Amino acid sequence: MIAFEQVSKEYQGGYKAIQDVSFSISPGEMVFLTGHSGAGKSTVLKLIMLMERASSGSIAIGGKNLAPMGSGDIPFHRRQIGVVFQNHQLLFDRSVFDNIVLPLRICGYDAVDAARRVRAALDKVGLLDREKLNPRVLSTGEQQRIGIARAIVHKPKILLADEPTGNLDPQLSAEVMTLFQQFNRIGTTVLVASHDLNLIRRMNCRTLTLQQGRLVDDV
Amino acid sequence: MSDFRASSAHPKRGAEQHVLTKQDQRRHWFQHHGEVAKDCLRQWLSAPTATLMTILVLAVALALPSFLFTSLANITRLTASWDDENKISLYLHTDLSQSQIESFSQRLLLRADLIAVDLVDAEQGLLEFKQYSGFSDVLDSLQQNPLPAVISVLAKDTGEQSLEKLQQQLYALPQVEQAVLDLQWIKRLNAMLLVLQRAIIALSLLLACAVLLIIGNTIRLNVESRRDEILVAKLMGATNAWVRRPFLYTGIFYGVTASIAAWLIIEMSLIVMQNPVLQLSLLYQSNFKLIGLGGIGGLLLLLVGLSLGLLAAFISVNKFLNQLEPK
Repeated sequence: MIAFEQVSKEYQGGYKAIQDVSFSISPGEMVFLTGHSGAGKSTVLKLIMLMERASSGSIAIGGKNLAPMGSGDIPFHRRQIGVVFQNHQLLFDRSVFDNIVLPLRICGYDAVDAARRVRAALDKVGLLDREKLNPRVLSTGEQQRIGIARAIVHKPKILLADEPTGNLDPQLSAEVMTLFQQFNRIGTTVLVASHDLNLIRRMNCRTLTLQQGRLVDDV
Repeated sequence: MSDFRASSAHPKRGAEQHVLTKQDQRRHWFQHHGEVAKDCLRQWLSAPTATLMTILVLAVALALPSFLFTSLANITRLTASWDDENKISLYLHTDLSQSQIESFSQRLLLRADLIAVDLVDAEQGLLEFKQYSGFSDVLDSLQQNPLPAVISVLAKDTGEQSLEKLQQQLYALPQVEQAVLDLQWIKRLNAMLLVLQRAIIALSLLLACAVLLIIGNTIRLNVESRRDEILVAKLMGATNAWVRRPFLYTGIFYGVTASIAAWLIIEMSLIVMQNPVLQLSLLYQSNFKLIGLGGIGGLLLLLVGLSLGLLAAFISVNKFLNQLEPK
């Protein structure tokens, strides 16, 4: 589902974010990506999302090579991926419902069908009663769960999460991880970037470790 | 329409993805247009003063060149109604007696190269001048009629060169003090109008740029204020067309409303000017009436406003979207 082959990313000024990274994630797998901050975790996720392009090497998502994709293909590539951000990136100028419905509106779902799916997603993260609230008034943990609902509402093939538990206490972190596991169980490929080693150990999943831009461990 | 292509193949594994039919996509496309239009309207109504001010500035910038073009069209129409381009006015020596003038005028009638001869003697000329110039008191105080007798002749041949040759011939006659080819000042006027037209075109281009900049800047601020929304939408797979749509609507709204306001400004100015112009043209025994932008002119103005708004929005949003392209 996700295949990196000798991928390097060099930013302007010569800074090498990742070097010669190769790994492959099968469909339906759940994998952690770990390493210190600055090790290149976010860069890997950005490359998968096509927010950035690799300087060398090749990346294939769902069997499709990313290199030849032009700006017209990028939206359709991104629609098969759901992303959870560390700072959740919710829009505070609209309600919880309108935040979650955004990916469905972008993909072109019918309004009635979209509303049904939004409620299903909210139900899954246990926040069905928060639909009409502004996300600003919710707690950090609830905001993160809204972010997750938004990432999975259009049932993406791949779920990416960048430090999803960064701002959460251990109990909330565990809840979030359980959610990811549930999505994984119904077939979604999940890749979580995190530096919370204790949590990762408890999850007992395959873990890729990055160190100064190089993949040093894959267990 | 291509921006609502959903992934066509069911994944073999993984969560079940919704597949959109062509019909769904089309319906959604219209639905989104409707939503976006309503959203735009709501935004303008939420800041009516700022919106109105921008529209007025745009309207003035659009009205000025349109007004000048309308005026120019009116002047051109006025000069086009002067069909006596082949007219030569012969100003006779003032020391000629009435009978000498009349016999001269009759001799002119015999010439084959003239099709009409019209004698306006000095008395008649003075009367007309008194009537139309408003200087009757001053003229009354003169002891002697200062005006010469004038014979207007129409040449048979309207060619420029032959007219000039004829003018030379008539000028050489001993009774004639001056022979004026009316064509000359019409030519000068037309040349001046051409210069004026070019100046108006240059001014119009400048003002069109101003309209582009004003709308472009307004949209740029609009884009900046919705920056987060655009970033998030782009990450979720929004196409550039989807992101652009609301801003294009805003651009069109500004362009079209400003055009309508400009049209109102022009029509109202013309209504204000209509009566004085009518009086002036009556003084010249003409039934000249001002003509406004008209249907085609109005439509053109609307089209120009719409295109400028659309173009400005397109440029502004694309500048922002280009920054988001992966490098």
